[in-house]
Amino acid sequence: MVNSRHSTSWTLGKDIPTLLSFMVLAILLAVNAAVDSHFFTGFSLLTFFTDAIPLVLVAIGQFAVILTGGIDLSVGSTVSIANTFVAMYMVQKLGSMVEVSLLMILLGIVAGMVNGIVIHYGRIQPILVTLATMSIYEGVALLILPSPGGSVPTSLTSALTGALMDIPIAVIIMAFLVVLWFWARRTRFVLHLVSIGSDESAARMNGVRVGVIKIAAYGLSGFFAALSGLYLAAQTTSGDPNIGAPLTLLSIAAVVIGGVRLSGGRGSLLGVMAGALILSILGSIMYFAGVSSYYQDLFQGLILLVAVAISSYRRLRNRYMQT
Amino acid sequence: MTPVENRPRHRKWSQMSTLQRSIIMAYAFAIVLFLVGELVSEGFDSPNHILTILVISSFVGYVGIGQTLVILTGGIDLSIAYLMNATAVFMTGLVASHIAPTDVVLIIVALGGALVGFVNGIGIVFFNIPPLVMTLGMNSVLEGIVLVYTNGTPTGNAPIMIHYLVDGHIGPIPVDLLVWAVLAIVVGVMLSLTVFGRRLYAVGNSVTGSYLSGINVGRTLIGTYMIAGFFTGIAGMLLTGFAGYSYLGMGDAYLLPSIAVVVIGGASIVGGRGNYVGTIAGAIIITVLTTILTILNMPIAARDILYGVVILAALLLYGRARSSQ
Repeated sequence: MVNSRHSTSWTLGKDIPTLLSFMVLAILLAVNAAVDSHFFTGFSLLTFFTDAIPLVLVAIGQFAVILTGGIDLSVGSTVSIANTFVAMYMVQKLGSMVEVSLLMILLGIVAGMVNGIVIHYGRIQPILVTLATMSIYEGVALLILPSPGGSVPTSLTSALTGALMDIPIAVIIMAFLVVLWFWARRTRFVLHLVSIGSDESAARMNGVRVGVIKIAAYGLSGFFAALSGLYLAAQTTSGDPNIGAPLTLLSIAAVVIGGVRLSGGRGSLLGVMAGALILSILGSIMYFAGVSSYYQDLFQGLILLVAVAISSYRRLRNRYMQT
Repeated sequence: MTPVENRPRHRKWSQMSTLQRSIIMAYAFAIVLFLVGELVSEGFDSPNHILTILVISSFVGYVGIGQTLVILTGGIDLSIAYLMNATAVFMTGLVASHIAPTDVVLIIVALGGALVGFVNGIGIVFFNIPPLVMTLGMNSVLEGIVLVYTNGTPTGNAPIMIHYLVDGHIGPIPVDLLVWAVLAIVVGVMLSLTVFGRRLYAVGNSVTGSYLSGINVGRTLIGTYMIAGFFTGIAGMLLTGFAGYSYLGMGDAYLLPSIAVVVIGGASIVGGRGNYVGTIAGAIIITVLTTILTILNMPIAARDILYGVVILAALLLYGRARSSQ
């Protein structure tokens, strides 16, 4: 850790990668406003933020894991588990809604913690463990609901995707997450996450309980993936055992575009949210600009590469060309 | 190297390297799976059926060549899925449009694969982008290119030549297995008998160490990604031969298995340890397992779960890092 004070900083002036992601987001918002004259009216903004929330949530979980220097390829499948679970078991009753939501969140946390436990106690690389559990959790989602279907209480849909006094619920959720981050980034837990990502053995020698913190990080990833699955269920009003699959790689992309170092130890949640919004807004821009949706993947890939190239290129001491 | 390791034969289990033990375990596991297959369904181990299973294994095996090379350097290649898809649609598309003779098209497409690998390598070496991110972005870009080029519906069929390589027989032996054997020998020789191969392992073991011993790390990495791209391109073409035509998303099903087979074959995901002989065992294991689960008529859900459990079991058996405490 070169400078621990800034490792989870939100003073953007000193955090160039995060600043960069905000600049890209600002440019894309301007482009979107240019191609869609109604963008800053209520409905467009509501749709934009509502569509972005699932990716934002998964990316936050992925962020917690990447901060420790790990990676979670199973998040997409965990999203599917939560999504199918809700569509299968939730009925239009307050008791059921609370009960099923809590159970679903518990499932997500357990799924995540299993990853962490196998990674830590099995001493296996995170990318391999979560590759295997991705397949396992995908199977579990298919067990719960073999094909798209099921139903979701309409009150859940209106509660999560509607607006409260003209403010989209999605915006309130995002604002809450930002506030949560301002509190969390100075907590011992987040500092421990960062210290493990910076130098695991140094963290261990300084008394950080590496195992516990890592397992918690993966549990957190499962928690946010479950919330994302719930939100997707509310949004699509049904369940789909494959709904989470694209979110795995997108969440990694969002984290990286947000200026988080993939090897861990540095990053800001604000950047991650910007990264997720950047990836979501591309679809909207293309729709309104009349560009074929076939170009969406192309631009997502290019933005990822350009953003990473710029933020990595600054580091002149290149790993492969040491001088 | 210790003197013990120079003695070529009759080495005791405890004197073998981790890699040798892993590869022997992988092949033993493959044989056990074949025996289980015979129990599940009579005729599973008949010569014909074994040949069929080997032919199916060869496709994961082809995809595994590029992934093996890249993982040996400590990297990972996520652009495999749409690089295969891109070579497939460009091959069938260009052949159908009669722009150039078929053999010229095949060469151009394979070189296109190498070009994609070259760009991956440039991004990783000169822009310092982590391999995971570089190839993830590249996959997305290639997906876009495939969609835009085909406009959603790929055209054309696999050329007869490619069809023959996959489906033809010389006597009882499928041509496909001969192709696999040739490619395996080429990769094996490249890895263990050439200077480039030794450098590739060195870089995978320690970038700093390689640099200090005078290896041009950047050039070795770019070379590796280029060769990997070339082989992945060939894999895409052969897979098209198997299907007969190209379709969207045809490479998706091979991305994660390509990583799994390399790791089941005893390679270390952090690089420096492994070889293609192990990957072949991994490809056979995955294929036999899938075949058995299909014969048992298992629902897809159970198949996914078992698939993951087997990968985890292989990892716990020989994929563990040394204790850090």
